[in-house]
Amino acid sequence: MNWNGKDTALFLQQKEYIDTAIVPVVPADFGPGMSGAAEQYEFIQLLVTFLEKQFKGRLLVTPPHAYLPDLDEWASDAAEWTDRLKKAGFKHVFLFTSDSRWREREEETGAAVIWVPSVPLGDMEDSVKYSLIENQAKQIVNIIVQKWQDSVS
Amino acid sequence: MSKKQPVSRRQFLNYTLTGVGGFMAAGMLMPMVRFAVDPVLKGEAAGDFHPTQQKVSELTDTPVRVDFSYEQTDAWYTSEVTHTAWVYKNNKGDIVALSPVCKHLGCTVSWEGNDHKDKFFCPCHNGLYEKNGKNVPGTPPLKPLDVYPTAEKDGLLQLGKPEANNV
Ligand code: FES
Repeated sequence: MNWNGKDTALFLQQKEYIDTAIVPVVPADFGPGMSGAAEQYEFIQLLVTFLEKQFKGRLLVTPPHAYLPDLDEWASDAAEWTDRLKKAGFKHVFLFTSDSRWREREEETGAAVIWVPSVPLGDMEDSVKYSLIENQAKQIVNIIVQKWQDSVS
Repeated sequence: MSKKQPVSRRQFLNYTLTGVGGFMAAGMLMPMVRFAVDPVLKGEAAGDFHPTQQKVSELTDTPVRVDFSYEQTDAWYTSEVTHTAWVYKNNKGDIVALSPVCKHLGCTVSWEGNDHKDKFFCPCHNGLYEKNGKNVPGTPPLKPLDVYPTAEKDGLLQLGKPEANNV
């Protein structure tokens, strides 16, 4: 499900089936790191869109969680996001990011951090872009399905 | 005590009525505007076929995944969308092209996914469909997979807009 009125209304009706939340986690860097940060955003959004298409009926893509990457407490409210999502009924919470610093903070977030190094998509042709994203996404598809299966057994 | 201007009953009614009236006017105008601009919005009329790269002669009785893209106008912006179909020839030799969108809550199904022989499988809540798209009772989907109208041009497969499947 996407973060829009129609899909979230459906989510509220079908909660028992939609047990997974995907949070795009993106730095909001307005300094010299701006382009890099924007590239990460672009990449993560495309990836998440692809996954949403595959698993529409079981997951909700939340609004992006943007943070100021140079603050000391840059990672501090991720745990709160996870907490609220779990309270809303999501059994599985995935944080999608291209910022490798999140890997060391995984534990404190209480969620599963999926770190995917971003690829500058620049003026790549659409079809090349799609196949690139699709290849990345395939591995993630497996991670997600694995998580679902583990929670059943 | 209060020096603030209280909203009088009359003013209040006035405000609300203007508000409601505004909505009603918008409600009446919107369809008119829509009719007026509709021909412009209708870039992709229903029944249009989209080309694919799939050679019709290479289709067999095993469903294969066919991806195809075309431009779609969504509100004011145009983007390239990619769709997928599962395509095979049935025992009468007719081409069958099924939409991969699960009729339960919309995940993407795959042919023989997760080792389900001769079935389409939905990984989200273990939905199953027969090869002709019919939903397997007892699994979450309540309707068969949609079918694409098909056409052939220069030996290549073309697909229309998915429709309800009466199998
Ligand atoms: S979305 Fe396919 S079984 Fe639920």
